[in-house]
Amino acid sequence: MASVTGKLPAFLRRREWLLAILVLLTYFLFNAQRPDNYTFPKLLNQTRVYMVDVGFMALGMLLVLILGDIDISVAATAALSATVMGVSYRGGEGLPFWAAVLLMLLTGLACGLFNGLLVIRFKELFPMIITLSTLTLYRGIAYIILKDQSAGSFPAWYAKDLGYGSLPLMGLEVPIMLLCLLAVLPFYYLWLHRTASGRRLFAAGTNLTASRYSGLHTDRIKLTAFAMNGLFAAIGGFFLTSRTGSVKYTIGTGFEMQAIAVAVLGGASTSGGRGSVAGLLLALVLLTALKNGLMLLYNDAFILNLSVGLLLILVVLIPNLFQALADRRRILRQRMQLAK
Amino acid sequence: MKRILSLMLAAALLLSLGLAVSAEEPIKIGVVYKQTGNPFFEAAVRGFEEASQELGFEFIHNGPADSSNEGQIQIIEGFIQQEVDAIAISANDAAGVVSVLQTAMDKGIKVISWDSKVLAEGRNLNIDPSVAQNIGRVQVEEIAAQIGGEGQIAVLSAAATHDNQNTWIKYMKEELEKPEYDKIELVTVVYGDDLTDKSYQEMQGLINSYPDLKGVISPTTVGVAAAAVAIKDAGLSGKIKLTGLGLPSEMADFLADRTCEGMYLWNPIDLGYVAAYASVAMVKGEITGAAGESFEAGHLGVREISDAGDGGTFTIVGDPFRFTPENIEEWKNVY
Amino acid sequence: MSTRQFKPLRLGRLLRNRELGLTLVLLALIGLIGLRNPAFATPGNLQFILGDTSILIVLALGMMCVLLVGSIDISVPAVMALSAMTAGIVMKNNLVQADTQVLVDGALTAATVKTSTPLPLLLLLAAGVGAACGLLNGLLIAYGRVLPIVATLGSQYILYGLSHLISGGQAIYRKDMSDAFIQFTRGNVLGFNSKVLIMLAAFLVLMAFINYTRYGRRLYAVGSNAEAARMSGINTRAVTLSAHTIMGLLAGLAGMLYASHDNKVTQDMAMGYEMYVIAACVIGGVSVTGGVGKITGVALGALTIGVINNGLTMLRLTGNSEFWKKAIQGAVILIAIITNVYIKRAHERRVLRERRL
Repeated sequence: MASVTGKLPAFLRRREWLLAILVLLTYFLFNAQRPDNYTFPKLLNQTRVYMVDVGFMALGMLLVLILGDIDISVAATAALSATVMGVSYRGGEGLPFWAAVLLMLLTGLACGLFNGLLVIRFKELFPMIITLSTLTLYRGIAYIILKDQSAGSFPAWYAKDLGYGSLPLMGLEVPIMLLCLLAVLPFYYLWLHRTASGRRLFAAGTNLTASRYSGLHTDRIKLTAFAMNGLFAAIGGFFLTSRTGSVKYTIGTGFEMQAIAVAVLGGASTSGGRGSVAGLLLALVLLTALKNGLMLLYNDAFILNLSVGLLLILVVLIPNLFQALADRRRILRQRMQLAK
Repeated sequence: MKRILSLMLAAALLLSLGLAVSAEEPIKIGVVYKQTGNPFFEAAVRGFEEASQELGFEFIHNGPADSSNEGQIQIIEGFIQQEVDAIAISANDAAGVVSVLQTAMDKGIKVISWDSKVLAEGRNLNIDPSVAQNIGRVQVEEIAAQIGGEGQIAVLSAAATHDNQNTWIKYMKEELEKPEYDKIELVTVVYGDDLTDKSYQEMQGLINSYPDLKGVISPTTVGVAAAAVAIKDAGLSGKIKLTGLGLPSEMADFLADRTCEGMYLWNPIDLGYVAAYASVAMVKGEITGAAGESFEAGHLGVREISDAGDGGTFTIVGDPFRFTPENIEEWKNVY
Repeated sequence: MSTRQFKPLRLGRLLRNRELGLTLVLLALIGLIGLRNPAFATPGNLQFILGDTSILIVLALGMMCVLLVGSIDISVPAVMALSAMTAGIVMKNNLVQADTQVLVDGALTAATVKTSTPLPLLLLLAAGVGAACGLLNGLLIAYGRVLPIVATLGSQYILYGLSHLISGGQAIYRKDMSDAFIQFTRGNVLGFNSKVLIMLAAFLVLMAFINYTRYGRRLYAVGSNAEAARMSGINTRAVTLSAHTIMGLLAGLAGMLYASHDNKVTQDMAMGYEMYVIAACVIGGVSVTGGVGKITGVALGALTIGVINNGLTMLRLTGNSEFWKKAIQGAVILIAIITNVYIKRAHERRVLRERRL
């Protein structure tokens, strides 16, 4: 009896399974409500709206979260990087586009490195506080550079084909952006879960002090994670800009919270040591399915946010409650055995 | 020439398409506004409702929670997915939605911008609430009359990144060049970012830094209300004159106690109403959005489309309406 | 202690008192900005800043309680919005307008008097809604074991959504407010603005609570070592729960102050304000990892933020570019918290050196 009831929560306690079930539930629920518009091909087309730019930012955020840190300057980093790209390309009159993109990635890397340096140099300060001030700083610099202008006139292949194009694949129109994200994921997965340098992140995130004493250069690991986070933020900014077609200093405002939400939903914990690529991908799919469905049904931004908030809390809370219940039952059983 | 030809071709094509659509199912319009929960846009939606009762079209409306460009793109993509026939948008960023709206136009969706325009390449037609020059001019005239044609004035704007704000301020400055305003000095333009507490602080800063300040123009609903609170709190009601673009419901008490003796705004209901009529006319193929055309906007009469000077076309709803302590009672519960 | 040590010790005491260091930073800031724009450093403007910062201080006091137990709350502005919206709707629905005559400059003039639900009831309602939100956050965190950032990020979305739903898309404007509510933040007692007085009251009550009650001291105990606290018989979950409830209650009150000050309640009220609140605490020396922080420091930290924000406005008026303000704001906050770290390190080195002697 106990083993049967214990098994179901154990199965659901794997975040990936829980998410996969939720994805299917969400899909069939909304598909039943809106069979004409909420279809798989149409949902696939919407992935570029909800998945790609936030997805890349979440990939970076995951590294920092695994370490038990947090970075809320990612959206500002993306904005500053995109600004640098837009200004250096100058609608075709400045640098060649590839050079502008390179400069953009370097800017992201530099922002991430600066965050990382501050974090390891001032350990008394929680990374949240440091990145809270660099958030204002980076966006402020973008504001100084762009002022009230927007930078745009990007090459057509970037603003049109990458941003809105899709490739026919197995009879489906798959957005090119999504393919880019999916192409990166296997490498990211292999690196994070299968190489020593990726596993070190988990080690350092689970127990920083123990890792340091066992010979890990924890500062270097942290610096790398923050720098890579900056780089991923810039890549996110690259894809976001391909959709907007122009850059204003306000681009991507608030995306940091979305990136955190995706990573946490995917199984990362802000206290470190946990996180999975599969979970992150499933979280992205779930949010896409949910947000798009709610958009079609209600056309109300606040209801959309409200549901995302509820989802975030419930997905984290429910396994915890099951765990607490299981713990209590175990203790009771032990007590009964003792009484016998 | 080539462009006109292609436009005509497209018009002919759409005429047939439009007829086909109207025969099968009602026209569906997607309305996008800057922000959900903003009373100005709630009122504009009422205009769409009015028009839909008269014309029998369907419409869905949505705006982001945070007045962001990205949020508007999400909504537009959702509308394209729902296969609307036209999108009517008040844009948060004139350039930022061009790409997505172009993909919509590629799919045969008509794009009309209203209240806050989209760049010419991303729209078929723009509906301005009023001629921008007039909006700038009337506010200068108003403040000049209130301060007696003499003294320091300042402008409290929304944000340095808002296109329509910048255009109006440009026209205000042009108007102030005129000889009859020689004795009026525009000391500064400050920005409250369309946040109440920030605007309040900016207004307070103006009061502190310019003891001789006589008047303030705030061409934004958030700014003018915050300025009214700040002036009243400083006990300077009547000493520092205030005008601008304000919501009657928000400004009612300040007009009643004469902190503000006159302000302007267009009627958002009419704005939505005209945008709705334009959208339907365009979906039906009665107009293409080219300069020289005209359409019937219900009880508001015929609207002429003319060249906007930015590569696109536009039409206007009417003149900005003047709200005074005398007429505010009848408007304060309307919008 | 020998007399030889007397002098260095006094210097040490100066540095040890971190609040004094922060006060010096604050005075330097005021002086520097005042040099650029003399209108900044006038008593009138400084009093204005104090009044304007009162709301931030009230919130920072609550945030300090939450940070002390090692938690965090980023749903603060949403709690403010929901509380103020609830009370605002009640006020709007019960509003009664009456035309009367009042004496102005010795002459009777026509005036409209607006009354509604008594202000204390409205405040109680808002504080209650706020406390309930805080309680919910606390339950999620203490008993649901959801990490604080995740729980309050989620509840921020939910509470803003709720305030939108109950508002029905309508904002509360001055015309919907009773005179008593509008005057709530505009009263003047003994030359002090009522916002300042409310802030002082909250400050004193919380100071007494934190520093002089056994219950308040537990906040520190739980934050600095939760395990040890539990072993010594403290119900750490209940303490976390109460810290969040206090935060919620203060956020509810602050929401009313904010609404009265702004003359309006919108469903997206104060969006993004949580960052200022957290920054105020950190500048004031509260550790985000828990257990460290002083109530006077928090007030000074909030004042620093207030001075920076107002100072940027005043600097801009002397010709500095609009476009620089955000970068300057970020840089100044960064410099302020880093300076704080150096002061703390210097203090710790000194303490170590003294021990060695």
